[in-house]
Amino acid sequence: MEMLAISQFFASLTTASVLFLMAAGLTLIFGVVGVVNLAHASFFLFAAYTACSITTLTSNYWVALIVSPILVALIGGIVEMVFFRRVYALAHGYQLLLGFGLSFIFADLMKLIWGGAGGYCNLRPPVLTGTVYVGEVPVPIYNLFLISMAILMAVLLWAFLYKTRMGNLIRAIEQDREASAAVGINVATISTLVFMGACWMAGVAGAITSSLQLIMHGLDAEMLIPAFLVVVIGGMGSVAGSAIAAVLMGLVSSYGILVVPQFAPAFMYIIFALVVIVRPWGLLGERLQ
Amino acid sequence: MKKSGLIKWFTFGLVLVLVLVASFAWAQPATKKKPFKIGYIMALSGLQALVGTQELLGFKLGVADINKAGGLLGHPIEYWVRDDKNDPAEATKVARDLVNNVGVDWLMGTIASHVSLAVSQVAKETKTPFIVEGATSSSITGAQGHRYVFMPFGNSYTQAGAEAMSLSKKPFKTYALMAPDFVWGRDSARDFKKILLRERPDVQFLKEDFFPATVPDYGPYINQLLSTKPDCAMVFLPAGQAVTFLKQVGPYGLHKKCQLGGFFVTQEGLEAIGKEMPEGVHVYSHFYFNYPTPESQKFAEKVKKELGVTAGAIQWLGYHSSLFLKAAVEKARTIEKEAVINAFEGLSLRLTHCTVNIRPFDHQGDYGQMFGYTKLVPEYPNWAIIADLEYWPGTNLLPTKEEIMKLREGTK
Repeated sequence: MEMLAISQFFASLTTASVLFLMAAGLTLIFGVVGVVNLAHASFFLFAAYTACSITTLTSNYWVALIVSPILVALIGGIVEMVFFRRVYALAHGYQLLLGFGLSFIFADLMKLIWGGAGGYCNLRPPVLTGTVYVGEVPVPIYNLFLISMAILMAVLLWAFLYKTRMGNLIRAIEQDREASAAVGINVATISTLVFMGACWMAGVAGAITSSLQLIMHGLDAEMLIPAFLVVVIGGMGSVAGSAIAAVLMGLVSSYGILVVPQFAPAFMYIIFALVVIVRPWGLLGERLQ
Repeated sequence: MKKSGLIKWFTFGLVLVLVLVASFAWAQPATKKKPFKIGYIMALSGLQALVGTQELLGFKLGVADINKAGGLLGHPIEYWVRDDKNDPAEATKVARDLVNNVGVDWLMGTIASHVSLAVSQVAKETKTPFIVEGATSSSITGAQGHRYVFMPFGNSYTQAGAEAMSLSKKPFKTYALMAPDFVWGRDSARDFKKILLRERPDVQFLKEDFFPATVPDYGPYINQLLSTKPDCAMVFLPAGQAVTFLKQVGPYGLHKKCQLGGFFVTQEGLEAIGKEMPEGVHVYSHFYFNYPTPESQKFAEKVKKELGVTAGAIQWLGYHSSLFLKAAVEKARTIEKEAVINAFEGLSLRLTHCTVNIRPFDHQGDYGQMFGYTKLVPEYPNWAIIADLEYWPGTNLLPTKEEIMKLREGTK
């Protein structure tokens, strides 16, 4: 039983890592520009497809891991400048509609480029295959790599937001967009950069998971829902909240499987409902007046 | 030229023209026969699209061969392809469109059981015959079967049952079952358990769990199987999900600690998993390219030549489903719907490695299943093959007529 508990712990961290990489970008965009980006998971899927194509073309996993998130970040920047920038001042309903519409357009574009059949990335480097044992518990090295990447990204994101000048500016915009503009901060450019950063994180998640699961049409929608649950539970706009919520969701889904496997995903929604009822602003979110 | 010579030449020319016109007029009806319209519904996007797209290629190949040979009693086959997106609601919508707006004569296709059941409802309501290609839930021709649905390629009784028959010969005493929580998964687990206990009442089931239809990370489930420590872990997974599971299970070493089985694998899946495929996993398929019958070899060569891929279960299914229709039409000697349905009942057709009989009372084919073990061999350096192939016929695994009627009574 103890062995099972340990192995489920590592499994929960794997789930949490993907959720965090997705949710951190979402919450960052919401915090800085106030938009709930329903097209965020499209960037995840685009990166996954691109990573597959790059690994097939170059036979090099690392190139795919570096290039595909950058490519996605650049596309994200264009999308922000062409579409999202125009709706920042509008009501949330319009922003949601724009994101929703874009997600459909991206889905069809990806279907057009890669077809509907989907596929797998088959070129994990030897160093990331195999298993390490924690006691007697087998843990796939790739899962440890995924967990390490998520932790590294969380630390870098924290350091960037709290230890750099750019981070200070982003947090200033987060607190008061108009006042920041009034003191000369280039809000538009920083918003674009934040949007690109968020897309880059989704891209990293997509590139890493592309060799773990089937990459297919519709995966974006499947990824978006749990990522949103994490954002809301953690508190809209709080990166630290998203990290805690992602771990919580990972633990709940992995240990929930031990109790009632077919209903394990429901536990996530139960927690979500409880948070919305008891603490609507989320675990680390700011209480709205 | 003399006048009489001119008349002779004129008469000769006239006769020639008349002969040509007559032969043309005689030949016309065969090519002008009205087309036989098939509505082909398949998962071309979403979870099962990896196999759905290949199945469509096999179907197209089969239809092309039939049309080349003169069509169905001279009626050329025309087909309309629709994507069901692996979604029953979408499948219902496209099936209705094909029947009501396009006016198809028959429906064919589908690979997911819940999608097949949805299309089967439309077939029943509109009295449009429907040949299920890839889906295998026994409910389709069992509890929810009707006059207008056909399933030539076995079902979860013959699939899971044949696997139970195959494994019953092994010394395994304890089993763990896992399957996705939808109709096919539940049917497979139930039918496997039933047949295995019939053959081996001494075996014990330590665990029986169902998980959601799509699972991005099977790690927590693999951990559970590891901690259960069965002699044999059966994880019933259709092609798309099987690839994800088999890709993830290797590092956990589950396949080294017990016999792992229950997976439907396709050639596309084997190639997608590549060298990461764990060896020794008991897998099944409808067809495999190196099955040693001359007909199988011939089909494999044909697929390689015409589609440019290594032949697998999926192209095989798509190709042979249209052959069933051809055989039924030829037996009925008409394309009239009800007559072809009657001809389908009791139809017997020799395929590449077996003969399939369509049972008249439930329209279920007694196709069994092909099994083998995954193995990495030097001849195929990029992916594992299925080795030690065996075919188990489904004849004695299907429920009796009385059992089927009882099941259908229960759902009324």
